[in-house]
Amino acid sequence: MIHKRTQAKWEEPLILNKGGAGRRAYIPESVNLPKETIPDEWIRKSPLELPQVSELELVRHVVRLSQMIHGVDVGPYPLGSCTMKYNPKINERIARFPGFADMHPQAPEQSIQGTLEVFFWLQETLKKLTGFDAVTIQPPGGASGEFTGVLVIKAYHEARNDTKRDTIIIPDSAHGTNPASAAMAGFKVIEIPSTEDGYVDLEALKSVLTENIAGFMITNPNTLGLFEPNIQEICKMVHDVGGLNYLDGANFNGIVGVIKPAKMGFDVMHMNLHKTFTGPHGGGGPGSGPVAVSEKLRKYLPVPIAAKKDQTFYWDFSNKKTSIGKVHGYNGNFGIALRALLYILRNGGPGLRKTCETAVLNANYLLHHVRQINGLTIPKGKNVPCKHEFVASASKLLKETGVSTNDIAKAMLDYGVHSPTVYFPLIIKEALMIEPTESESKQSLDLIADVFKEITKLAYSDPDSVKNSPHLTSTGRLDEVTLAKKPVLSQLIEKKDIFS
Amino acid sequence: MKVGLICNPIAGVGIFLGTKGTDNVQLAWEKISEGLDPPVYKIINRTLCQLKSLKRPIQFFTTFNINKVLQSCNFSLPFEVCYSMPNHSTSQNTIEAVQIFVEKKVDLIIFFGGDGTASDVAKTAPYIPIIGIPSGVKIFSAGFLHTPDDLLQILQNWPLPVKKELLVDLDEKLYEKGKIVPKYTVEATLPVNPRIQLGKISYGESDELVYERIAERINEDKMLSNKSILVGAGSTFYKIFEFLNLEKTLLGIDYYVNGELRIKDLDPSKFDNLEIDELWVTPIGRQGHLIGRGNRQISPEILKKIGLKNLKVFSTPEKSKDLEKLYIDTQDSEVDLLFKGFVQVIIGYYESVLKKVE
Repeated sequence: MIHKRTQAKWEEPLILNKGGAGRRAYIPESVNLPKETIPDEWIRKSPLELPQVSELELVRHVVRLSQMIHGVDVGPYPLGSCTMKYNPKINERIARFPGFADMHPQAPEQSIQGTLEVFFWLQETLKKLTGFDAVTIQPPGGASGEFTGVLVIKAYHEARNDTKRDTIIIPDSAHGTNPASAAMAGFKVIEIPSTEDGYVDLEALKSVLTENIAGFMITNPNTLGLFEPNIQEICKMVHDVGGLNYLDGANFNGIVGVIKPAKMGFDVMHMNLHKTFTGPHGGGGPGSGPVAVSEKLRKYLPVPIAAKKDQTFYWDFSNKKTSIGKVHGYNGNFGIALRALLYILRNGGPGLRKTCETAVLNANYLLHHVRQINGLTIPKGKNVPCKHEFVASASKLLKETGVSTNDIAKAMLDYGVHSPTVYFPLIIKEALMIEPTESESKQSLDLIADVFKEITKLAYSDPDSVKNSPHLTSTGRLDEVTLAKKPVLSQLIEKKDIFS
Repeated sequence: MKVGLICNPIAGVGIFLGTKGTDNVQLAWEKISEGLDPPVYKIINRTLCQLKSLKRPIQFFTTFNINKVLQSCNFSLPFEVCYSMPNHSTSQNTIEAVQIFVEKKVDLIIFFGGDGTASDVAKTAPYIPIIGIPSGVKIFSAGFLHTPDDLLQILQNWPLPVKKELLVDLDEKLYEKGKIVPKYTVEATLPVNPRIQLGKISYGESDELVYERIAERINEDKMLSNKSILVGAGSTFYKIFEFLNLEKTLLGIDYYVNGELRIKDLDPSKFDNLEIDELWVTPIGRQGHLIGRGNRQISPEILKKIGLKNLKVFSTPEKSKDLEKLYIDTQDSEVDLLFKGFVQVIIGYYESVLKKVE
């Protein structure tokens, strides 16, 4: 019997509905800007609608909200392909140093030497880890990194007047954003099927390799947590028809410090600093999706790149004529870049290798236990160890009890464990994509396994109890349809009723 | 193992009547009297000849002398004709024959026919597993082999797990008028195996954009220009062509030249004289058949000329998602082989999915 967790349940109103007129948590210093310097149309005609609360009200509000959610600081968070690892608190402390936190993005180079140095060394460390020749930190997230990488591929072919290449090949076990990124860049997409074992079907790949192929995008380890055994052969096949190979590095945590992607035959890859390198995430950002490329693609990367001459750091615009241009307002989400560099330097090469090995070991330990649970199956990768994650299916459980993957996901919250990623990848029915990360201890892994066991057992004895879960959280099941179709993003927007 | 084997002699004649089924028995027999060789005979021959490699003893109860068929492939099987089909047989005769199979306590009934025959067999023997050899015009029900060539493997691996499923038959009169109104007829006992097809499902996409996006791609890539194209049946094309502002019959095969509709709802006699650059098809929902279901009027000879590289496949994303593989049943094993491999299924403005054809 596992102890359940009862989440706090506060009747907490929105902050705009708290407090009273004139209350303040913070009184800024008055600024005497000469009025004539601001154009009349820029000056507010009505007061800004801000919450009016005291500091105590504000603190209680955010503390109560924090008690009604789940996060990696509360309990295990095995959300597959999202790499919800622990975010070291020392990163947060250093990110708050005034020299970093108060930096203006348009400050002149000579006054941001430290910031440039962070960018530069992050580029250098990522080059070292990936085996590539050049890196941009500019893309502000994973999908943005993909888009950047695909634009680089496009620029490469266009520069060679090879304009017939209009298609990108993507396996069905890739991340869902891959086809969207390729399409956004103006490519057609061919999705190819996986084999029974979950790997790229070489015959299928061969059948679509023509002179129209611009590139091949693959996630490796793939979304099943399996490392593609034929990756070098695949990359060679694509190169042989003139295409380029793109690695989606969202699952980099399964190989970081062990394999350099450039050695597998890739030409370009993106990484998710907020996943592999401990940027706090899960609330929609900010993220960071640096792109690393081989030498022949260097000149197409977004500009500027952080560079160093003698002891001075500077923004290098030298490739601006061949560059695909900027992909972000400034030069990347610096806060996440800084945390990533801190994490990399504090671990060092051997440390990163150890984190990777531990992540893989943890996933396999959990896989071993989940494999034995009645109602759950592991449809792919039957005779091989997984990498950092694996995918279970609750199809059997659904058939035998009526309890679905979604029900399991909800029930887990009552045990203080976040759900895995559900219903993805699409090639597995009733998928539960489980990634414990290296952060979790053996006790945590045992807890996750026990939670799966207890819920599936309950599904057979009292399925309605699971179907109606969670029972102990601040809110029960949400109306997900209304949530998706009519999201209320802020109370101000709701007040103005912009959706009606 | 005891197997009942029955054949509907008029199965598939509807193709030569220009109708979408063979519900009109009288017209079918008239066509045969005029000299049409019943198309089912070829299928029987092809199906039974493969049993030469059968490695298990089977006692067949039949409605015809199967060794007469097997003469062409130089072998024989033990059988007993337990019911003789009269000339101009009807569905009543099918029912009577199956009743005798039930009395003989057969383990499995194999029938040559379409959805109509399937219903007649199942309602007489609801508890005996049945397998259909695709021979009719309408073959939308579950329980048919994907191709007759699969029978040997099924018999070698018998017994198979079974399930109960409602069979479906389309109302032929409404079907002729372009209305697909499925009529659930009877619950049958069906073996479960990847070689046996699932029942058709209609995927009515509520989002019209799905069709508009495919139409946009056809326009942008000038897919209809400077080509003579046969476009297959089905609601997927019907809706895509609405967005192309081109007329398209729901259930017929239509012929387009350089983006203009030239011939509507072609009958088999017209195909031979046409210049055909491409054949466009859409898979049958959940079944996955590209050829051989709903478009049997395209003969193996025509398909041989077209070839896999000139086959273009279109689908909505939802329909495609549920199809692991696609199937071809051209009525000719050699032509089936020509179409095996991988085919790109266009599912949107920019996206295609590669599927294996079996």
